[in-house]
Amino acid sequence: MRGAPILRLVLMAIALALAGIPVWLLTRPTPEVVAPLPAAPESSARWVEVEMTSSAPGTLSLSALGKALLTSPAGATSARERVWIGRESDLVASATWPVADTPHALRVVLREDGRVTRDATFWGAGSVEDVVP
Amino acid sequence: MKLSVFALAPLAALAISSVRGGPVEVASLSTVLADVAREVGGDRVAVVEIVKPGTDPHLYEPTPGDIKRISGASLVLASGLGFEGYLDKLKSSVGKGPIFLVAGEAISPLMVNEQDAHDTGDGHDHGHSHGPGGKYPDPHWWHSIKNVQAVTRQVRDALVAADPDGRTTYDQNARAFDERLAALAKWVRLQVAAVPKNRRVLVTSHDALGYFARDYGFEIHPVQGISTSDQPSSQKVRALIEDIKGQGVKAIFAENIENPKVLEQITKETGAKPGGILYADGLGTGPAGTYEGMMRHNVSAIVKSLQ
Repeated sequence: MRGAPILRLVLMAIALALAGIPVWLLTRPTPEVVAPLPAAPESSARWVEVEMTSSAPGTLSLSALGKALLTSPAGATSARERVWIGRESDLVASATWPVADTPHALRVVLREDGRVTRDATFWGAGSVEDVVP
Repeated sequence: MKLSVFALAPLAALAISSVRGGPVEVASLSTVLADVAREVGGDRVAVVEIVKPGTDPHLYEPTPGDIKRISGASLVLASGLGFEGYLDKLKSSVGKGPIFLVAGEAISPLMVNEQDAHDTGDGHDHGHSHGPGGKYPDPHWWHSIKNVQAVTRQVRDALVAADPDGRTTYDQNARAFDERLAALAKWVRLQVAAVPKNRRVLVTSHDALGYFARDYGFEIHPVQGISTSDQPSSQKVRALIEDIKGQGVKAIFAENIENPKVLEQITKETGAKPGGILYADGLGTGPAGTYEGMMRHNVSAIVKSLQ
């Protein structure tokens, strides 16, 4: 064997091939593992229970950035709805009453998870519109 | 709410006004206060505007002619809170004749950080009084309508002290003006409601709109400090440009009495659009020549640009 260079060459080739297997296993191209997308930032909007109450029948509404979130039918004294509200917008409450000679009140109550977060009352004769503080 | 000590010298005023018989002469160092005095005083007062619309009140100094006119007045209206750096000297110059009503003494001032106004390394003498912790009062109180309502009552009381016969007129006028101011405040609230809160960022020439920002939830990035005499360092301008780019600010506002050169540079480099001209240090002319007109002009320009 010592005098068989061809055999030695073959054995050397086999040894190198065997040693190369773990190297190949470690370095072979593999499908790229896609990292999961970072968690989306906490939503800037949330569900809010809106309750509007009027001291006289009228049309009650709530809007944000010009978009109506709640509008009652005419002649309503209350309106209630669960609305999706962005934190980046002011809420504008309004009411119109057919009788304009006496002041009427519009109360707006907002609840999140059953807890009252805003409670405001606005007064107006004929109509009222204001930002819910 | 405290009344200026200078307004609590009614006996002297009573004597002066009753002898004169004509309209109560009011000298105003503020265009806003001149408007309030006209609203409350009506025909019973003659208002002399010492500082005129379009003049930079931060840079104004009374002339000998002005001192003469002020000396002849029964009542002198000043903004206070350091806005008129010359006020103490002026009081000594005119002697004991007129009563000084320093409006800023009737409000709870917004305290401003020293750094916000003085990062320019200039002369550091703008007349304002420094408070604890390097803070001092922002003198631009009229950008809060509530403050103007408080000052209206103060002006009414001063006029009643100077002219007791006009009490009914002053009471009625003050009440009517107060109602209009309340309506104005509501109008502003509804206008501002059209701007998403994350867009309520104002880049302005100098730091004059702090009270407005506090009342309506805006963030202010002034190029200059609290006074127009504060010049911005190139470092500050660079940092501001980065801030504006980072926040995606939509518009940049100039002022009616400012040199808009730096603002133009910032506008060019950031890609923000010019938001129009704001009246920050007092009234303008034309429709902005009254307090209500000025506020409507400013709010309309801001809302239109940031919506």
